[in-house]
Amino acid sequence: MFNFGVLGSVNDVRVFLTQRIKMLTNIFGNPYNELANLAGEILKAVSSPQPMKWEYAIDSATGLKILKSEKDPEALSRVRQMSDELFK
Amino acid sequence: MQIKNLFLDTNIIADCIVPSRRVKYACSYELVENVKKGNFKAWSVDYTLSETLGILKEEKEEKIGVKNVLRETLSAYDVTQMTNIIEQFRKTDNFEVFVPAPFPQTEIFDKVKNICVQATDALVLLSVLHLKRKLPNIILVTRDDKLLVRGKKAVTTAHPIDFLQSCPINCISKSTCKHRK
Repeated sequence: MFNFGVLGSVNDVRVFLTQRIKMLTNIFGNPYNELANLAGEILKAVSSPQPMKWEYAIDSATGLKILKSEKDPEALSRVRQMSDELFK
Repeated sequence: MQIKNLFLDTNIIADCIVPSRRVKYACSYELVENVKKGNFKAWSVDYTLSETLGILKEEKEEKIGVKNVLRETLSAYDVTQMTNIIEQFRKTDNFEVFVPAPFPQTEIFDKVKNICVQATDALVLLSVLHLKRKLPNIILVTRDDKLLVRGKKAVTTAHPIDFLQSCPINCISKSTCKHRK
């Protein structure tokens, strides 16, 4: 987990930015929507999922020690998107 | 009908990730798609993922035309992208990566000597044998011709095309591949 000094963890940063975006939008309305959108993008980048750790679990069917992972139907498509980007 | 358990060798995993290999060895790509759909259950071991990471680095080196680029000289973006690819691949549906107990050097040596395979392939064979104790119907899937033939002495081996009706139409190796159908 990243630490941002006085702001604390990523979660704290997310909460902080969400509040500021809301405040900016409320105060200035439409002219500052672009700024709010930009801040939203930054927020998205900061709060994107952190790399997974190598964690282990015991497979109930076989009793084998396996690398723990949450199965995701879209994982393979994402792997290919990332790979296309890498070898472009 | 019982779902077949397949052990995926490194070359199969790399074939479905690296863009140029997806069309060169489209049968591997198609097989992993079938795994994702639930037609097969796939297994592999942790070091095949490490080997795949090495293949991704090699492909990147080939792309930029330099041999043996130090990890430090690759951009942080490239390194993150490569590790993310591997981490995401683990999330593929119906695919599990297990961690075998460390094999004694003598077992690896015996496999290299008796079956005449490289040490890395001996590790793959020993891993399949380890899995076979739990899943007797496990099949080692590889495109490596030597491992396909020599590995048969220890476990059941198969080429990805053995699980498909016919070669994928977009496969560019179709005319030269000796496994074509």
